This record gives sequence, C-alpha cells and structure tokens, in this order.
Amino acid sequence: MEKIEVMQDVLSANEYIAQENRKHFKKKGALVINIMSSPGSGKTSLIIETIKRLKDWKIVVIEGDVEGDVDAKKIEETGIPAIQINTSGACHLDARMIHKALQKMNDEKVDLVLIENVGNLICPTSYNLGEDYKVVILSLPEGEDKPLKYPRIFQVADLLVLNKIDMEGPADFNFKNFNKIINKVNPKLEMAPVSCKSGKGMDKWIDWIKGVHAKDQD
Amino acid sequence: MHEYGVTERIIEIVLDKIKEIDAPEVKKINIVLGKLTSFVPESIEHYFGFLSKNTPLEKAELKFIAKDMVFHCEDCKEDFNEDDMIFSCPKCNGENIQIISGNEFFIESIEVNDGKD
Repeated sequence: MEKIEVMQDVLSANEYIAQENRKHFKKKGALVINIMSSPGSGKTSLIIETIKRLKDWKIVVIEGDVEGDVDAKKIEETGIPAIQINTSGACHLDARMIHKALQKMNDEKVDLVLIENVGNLICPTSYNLGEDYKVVILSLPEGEDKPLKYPRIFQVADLLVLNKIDMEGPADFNFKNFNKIINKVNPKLEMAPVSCKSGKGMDKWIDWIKGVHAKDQD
Repeated sequence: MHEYGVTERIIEIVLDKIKEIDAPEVKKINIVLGKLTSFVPESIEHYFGFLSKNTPLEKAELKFIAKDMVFHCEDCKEDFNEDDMIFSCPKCNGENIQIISGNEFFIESIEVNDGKD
C-alpha cells in the first residue's frame, strides 16, 4: 500500500463560499445577521418584530427550514420578501445554500439581510454563511442551563437575545444562576433581554442592529 | 444529518485526489478530527457506508485521528491540554482563554492500492 498525503480541510469549501457570499452581500451594502436558536425560541417572531420596527429599512429575509414554507409565508405577510431554503433533512444552513439564495435576490441595494437558521443549537455553529454577525436566541422556558449543555453556540455568537422575558415567572428561570453560567461560558457575550410578544426590551435589540449597521458603513 | 454533508465532501476530496494521482482504489482514509468540532466519527462512518457505494472508495477504512483540545491562557500564558471545554484558566482563573487546538477537521492522507500487497 502506498500512503499519499492529502492535507485538505473538509470545511474549506464552505469557508471559501462563505467568503464569496460576504463579498456579494457587501456589494449590496447589506448588514447580514445569522439568527440561530433551538426550535420554538422565537426566531421568526424576532424577525417579524424587527421588520415592524425598521420600517424605513430595505430588508430581505432568508428562511432556512428542513421542510415547508410556513415561516416564509409569515414573513411575507409583513410585506418583506422572504427567500425560502429547504435543507431536505440537513440540520443547518451552509454557505452553498446561502449562495443559491443570493442568486434569487435582485441587484437592488439592501440595508439588512436576516438569515433564520434551522432550529438547532449544535450544527449551525460549524458553518459560516458569509454573515457579519451571529445572534443566538435563548427563550426563558428552555431553562437557564442551556449554555452549559451547548456551550459552543454561545461562544461563537456576537449577541444573545434572551426571549420571552414575559414568561419569567411561569418558566421558573433563575437569572442569578444564568448570569453565573454565562460568565463561565462566555463572559464577553453581549445580551439583549426581550419579549417579542409584549415588545419589552426590543429597543435594545434594535439599537444593537443600528449600532453594528453604523459600524459596518464606516 | 449533521455528518451527511461533510461525508459527501470527504468523498469528493478523495475522489479528486485519486483522479490526480491515477490510483484505482482507496484502502484507507486518515482523517484528523478535533474534539471541539461536533462531528461524530461513527456517524461519518455510517453515511460513508452508503455514499461511497459503487465508487473506488467503497472498501476504504476510515481512520480518525483525534486531536485534543488545547487552550492557552492569555493572562498567565500557560497552555492546557483538556478533555472537556474549559471556560477559565485552571491555574490563574483568568477568562482570556484562546483555543489553540481541537478545531481541526482535515484529510491527512489516503492509502491506495499500488499492487504490492
């Protein structure tokens, strides 16, 4: 038997396409945010509430789902175009899927692209899409110990949106314990506690988007 | 399904390589896999079993070379070899931890049949 050296990165193709996507998005002038969370923590709700609060912005949503277009339809009811990606079983979006979605966008300038990743706390951490920022949502009913069980996603994220703060009581969410856990997992992680339902805290999230958008334009 | 895509990619890379070197059949694929990546070797093997069918790779054995997680503390400049993710320095408790190793995922080499054995 003969041994042949290969030394080739398995994820390098994804990384290369992600860089290409980044260039395309930059040409469009778009700030791109990859929103990740477990299923049911409020990704679609956060996107809809964001659209309502950024009425003057030109926004495009890329919806990643294993099957169907339920969420894309909800987004389009707001009047914003949504590009649906079905991953046909895969538990995450990858750069190639975003590249295809990009081809469906016209040449117009865009202020903001919101990518809703597939509901999953593990797989999306391994795939860059060409985004500027990664945001992870944790909703209170999921429990404060999630970052201990899935630390990686809380480490790669630039911002943690803590959703469903209106459910603090019934969810039995221990903030003191949560802060200790986050300090251990990623002490530098910025946080925005919100309730998509009541609107509480949404200003901070919107300010964060405006802040990173302004920084991006520099 | 997490490993499906990367298994396809592994097969693609190896098929390209054997085309380049004109080898008929692959016996072994040596893959370096960092412990920090969330990919599961058994799952890659599972997908490899049917994705490699009817290709020159179908009899190949996958060998995974596990790469430990190594962290570096920016505060006390020590390196630590750990089995689990750490968030603070075991020596000085500092929180400026850099990951030095554990994120690797690459095909190191392949072993092909050269007709000698």
